Amino acid sequence: MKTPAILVLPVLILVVALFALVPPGIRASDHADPVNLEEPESNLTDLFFYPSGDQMILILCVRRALTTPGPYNLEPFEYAVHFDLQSRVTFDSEEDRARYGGTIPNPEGLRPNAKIRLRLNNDATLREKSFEGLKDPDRIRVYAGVREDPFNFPRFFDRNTIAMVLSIPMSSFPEGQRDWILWGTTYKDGKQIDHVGRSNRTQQARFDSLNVLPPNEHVPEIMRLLGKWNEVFTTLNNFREPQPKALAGLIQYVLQIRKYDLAPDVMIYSNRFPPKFPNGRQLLDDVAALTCQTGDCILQEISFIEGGWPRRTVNDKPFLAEWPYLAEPYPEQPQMAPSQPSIWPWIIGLVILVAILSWAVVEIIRRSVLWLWRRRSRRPALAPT
Amino acid sequence: MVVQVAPFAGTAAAGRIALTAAALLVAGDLRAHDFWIEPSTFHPAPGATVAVGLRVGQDFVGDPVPRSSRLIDQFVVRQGGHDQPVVGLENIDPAGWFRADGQSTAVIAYRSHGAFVELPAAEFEEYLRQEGLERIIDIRAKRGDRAEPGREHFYRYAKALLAGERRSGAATQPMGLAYEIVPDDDPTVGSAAFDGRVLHQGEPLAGALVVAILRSDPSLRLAARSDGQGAFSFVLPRAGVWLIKSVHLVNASMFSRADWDSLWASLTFELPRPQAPPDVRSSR
Repeated sequence: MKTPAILVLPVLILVVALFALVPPGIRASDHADPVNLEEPESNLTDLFFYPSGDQMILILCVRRALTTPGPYNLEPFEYAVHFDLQSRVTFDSEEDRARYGGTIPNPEGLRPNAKIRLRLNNDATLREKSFEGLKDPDRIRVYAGVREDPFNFPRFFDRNTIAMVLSIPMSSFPEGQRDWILWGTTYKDGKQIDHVGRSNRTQQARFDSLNVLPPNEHVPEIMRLLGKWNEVFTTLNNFREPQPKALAGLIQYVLQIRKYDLAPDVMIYSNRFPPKFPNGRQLLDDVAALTCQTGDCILQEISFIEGGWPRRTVNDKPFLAEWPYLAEPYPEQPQMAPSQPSIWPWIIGLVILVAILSWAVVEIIRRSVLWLWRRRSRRPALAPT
Repeated sequence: MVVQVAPFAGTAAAGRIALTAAALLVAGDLRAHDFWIEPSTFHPAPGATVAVGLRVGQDFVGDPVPRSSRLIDQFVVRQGGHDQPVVGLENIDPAGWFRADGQSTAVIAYRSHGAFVELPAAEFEEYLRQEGLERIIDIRAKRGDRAEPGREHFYRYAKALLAGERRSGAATQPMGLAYEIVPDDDPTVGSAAFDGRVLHQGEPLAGALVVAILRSDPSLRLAARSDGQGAFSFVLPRAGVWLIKSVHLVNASMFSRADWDSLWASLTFELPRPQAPPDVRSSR
């Protein structure tokens, strides 16, 4: 069936309007919370937390898809891992355990009471470290450097990352600690610019705005987004024309908050249960597949699209049994020339603007003619004399 | 059985929901179906996210009603002196969520747009009897309409009270619904005596049948008629989740396709177990 051009134009307007509504971070959205792609070293890519003997292993990675040699742009940033060791976690909800590792009954009460701060030199070595709220800080071992990207995902095979690996003695935590709530952040000039909690959450386009918020503000923000996107979805879905309905479907898939999203983005680990995502995260956890089991499947789909058959369920390079656990980096590749600025986005924008204005003029004329025609048709006929 | 139903707003989605409601209205034992709010908890902790379910059914056993923006006229929660929207996802159950402040009693209120239903005369009269609306039967008889089908727009006015750390005046204040059950005291803090008022357009309504049903034992039904001040009383014999409900019929407006507007008020809350009396021996 041929679609009348008059229907296509309003949809085009809606697309442009929605594009304008979407925060810039979402427009840039891709794997691993790229809040600001102009400074890729600010982008947190992975957070791991799991027990190993009498230690807890903590790994925080930044700078996705790294292939180039240093120096990097690491010095402006501070990387931090926050622990809330006091807030209550419950495990009664099977659904929450499968999706988040547990339930936090009072998410607005989340507050860090232990913190690790790290700064790196531009060659990816450790520059500064500080520990708050953790005992025996001298016994905490820290590594920083370029390693192979540990995320099991075809797009990041043959790629490196900048890793911070810590081995924290169990004795550094309060005695008898059973449940850990943690999250990672990047700061620049004292301002939070990225966040990571449970893997494959804030990198979803619908959660992009959480990247600059502390976890105790996540649920109110998710509620706000839920109301906003439901309104947009409902408005578009109520159109008779297929194009707005199709757009509503796209919004539902990409941006609309799900009914199971109303939880803060933090990682939960409890030693009441075996360590396996989402109860903490180990290096071998196949996060794309595991998060797909509870609803978020985009990474799983892309891993099929971009990967081979059968789908790999482990990383492309084996991990080390010894410190610092992450595999040796791939050889560096020469930096590609940056792409040149193009005039095409401006030309396309101009064409869209002209199209919208033309449509508006045609639509005003069409509706005016129709209105006049109906008015004329309704005029009662004169009775015969 | 002939049932004609159409949404007031004249839309397909609302029509489907109205059809479901109408089918429930006339199904089975021919009793009309109640509508109420069933939150995920009646005593949320501060900061907790509360899922708000809507239910339609009988004897306090209901089917979920997904959120439908076409039917919702108002869906809010009043807590801490402020009204906030209960946000949700279209066509999804639960119909909404809100964050509880948990400080004081919260009031959830839902007001629907009207939906049209037409019932055969016998079924309509049976439903009127069951809801204590014999006066409408008399009016129809006086008008010579008893053999005519019953045509009405039905409106839902549901409220729920969620306990907080302390009682709130909001629990005993009207929410501005066209038909509303308002308790005289906050029942979430626990008292077997439930005194309340029935208000129509903010004014006391006399002679309304008010029914109380206990969720854990729906066979336990209490009924009372409101007096000249719209007041009624129950002594609730057990702790648990209670539904208090009432139905009122008024003439439809002159240009309406319906003869009547039916107004369905409900109030749900959890009556806590009475606190044990202080141990006299240990306090000596």
